[in-house]
Amino acid sequence: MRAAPEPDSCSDAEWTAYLFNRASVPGVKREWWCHTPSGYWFIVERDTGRDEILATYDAAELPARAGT
Amino acid sequence: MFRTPGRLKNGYDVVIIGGGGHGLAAAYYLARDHGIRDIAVLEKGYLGGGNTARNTTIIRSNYLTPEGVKFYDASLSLWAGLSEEFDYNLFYSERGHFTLAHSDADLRTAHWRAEVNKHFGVRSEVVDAAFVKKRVPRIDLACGGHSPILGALYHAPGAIARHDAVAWGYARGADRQGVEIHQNTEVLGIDVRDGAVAGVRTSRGDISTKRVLCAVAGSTPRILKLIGLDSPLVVHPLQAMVSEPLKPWLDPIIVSSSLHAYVSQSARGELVMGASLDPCELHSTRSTLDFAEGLAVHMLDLFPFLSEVKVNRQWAGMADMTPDFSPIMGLTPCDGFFLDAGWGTWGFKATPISGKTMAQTVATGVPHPLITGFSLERFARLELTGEKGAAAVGH
Repeated sequence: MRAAPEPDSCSDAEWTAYLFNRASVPGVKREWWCHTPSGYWFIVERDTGRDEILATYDAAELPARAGT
Repeated sequence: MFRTPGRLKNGYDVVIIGGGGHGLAAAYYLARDHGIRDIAVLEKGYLGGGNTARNTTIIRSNYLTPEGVKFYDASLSLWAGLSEEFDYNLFYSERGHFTLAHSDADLRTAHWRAEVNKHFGVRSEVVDAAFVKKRVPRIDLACGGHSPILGALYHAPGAIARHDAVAWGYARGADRQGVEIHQNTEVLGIDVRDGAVAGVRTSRGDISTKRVLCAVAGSTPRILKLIGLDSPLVVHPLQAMVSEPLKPWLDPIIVSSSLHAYVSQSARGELVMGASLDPCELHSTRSTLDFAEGLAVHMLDLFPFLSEVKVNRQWAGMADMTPDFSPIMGLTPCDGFFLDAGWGTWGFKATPISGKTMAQTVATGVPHPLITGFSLERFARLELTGEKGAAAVGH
């Protein structure tokens, strides 16, 4: 999950960096996943280096979790 | 084959990070064509043990964009002469390459690629299903009845080669010209002063240098982080597997994008099979049963008689994927730091030409004309080189 820059006030370089660039070093990432049968979107914290899921929770818990 | 140098020197003209095919080829051409021989190739594992060892060795130039077709065709011209140049048998074997079409959309892409290819003098043509059957008598043209083969893009120069020998051939050639190849040497840091490369810190000591070439495929984001460069790369595992050895029955290389499968038969008789990338980012070379089952299902669509054949080995490599399925090559915002990356699932065939063009780029400081469409800055200019139609699955 990444925060988008303000499109009206950011520079072209900031915008294209947001569009294309990714933090792609291995580590713990917070991702949107979807449970297809129920169409339920939720948050997964996953270690992209070890292929381990560390936590799953509802998006409503995000503000509280993101603070940690 | 080549020397094992002792300690690292205090400094080198050029340091190449990554002792795979691409890094070794760049070292070879830097020494041969540009007289730069004071080079250290640093490899954190063993030589050619990354994606050079893990790819499925398919060599072709039937791409979609003018940039891609010209670049990969120049690579094919180099490939054909490499065994003789190295005095070392790469088992380079021209087989012909079929990209099967199972739908009107597939056929449309096949025609598009054939026309672009012909325009640049590359032998590609659209053929009908009967032609496919003639070259591959064991194929089930109906694919079990659910995705019948309507025709194919046929690319006669399509070839395979012995991948380990490519790394060893370039390594020996570079070594004989004075290049030092240091295995088990991990890069831990890169010193940058006033926006320019000043040195490299390794697990075996520090080196001063003004020029660094990064050729590390799936480890690229980790190296870029050392100098604070961002990139659009995302690393996904790409899996493959081989069957037990069989008597020769499959001469050409067969690719089906619709069925997410491709196969060729190696000189050892094994069927070398691959499919799509794993769906999400992961920095690991683990294998999954899910992949083997999915690929086997589609292989049986094409060749039902393989149902009793066993799978011998399965493995994965880490593919550094770009948004447009073209590589990232050339200069970077950091002076003296050169990038040969974004090789995703299409890097093996480019080994000779990426070595040659990166060597010239490092030697002169100006991007080789064949790689200007692959610059890192293309993303900021929104000038992508869209190669997905020819690079995805079928490689």
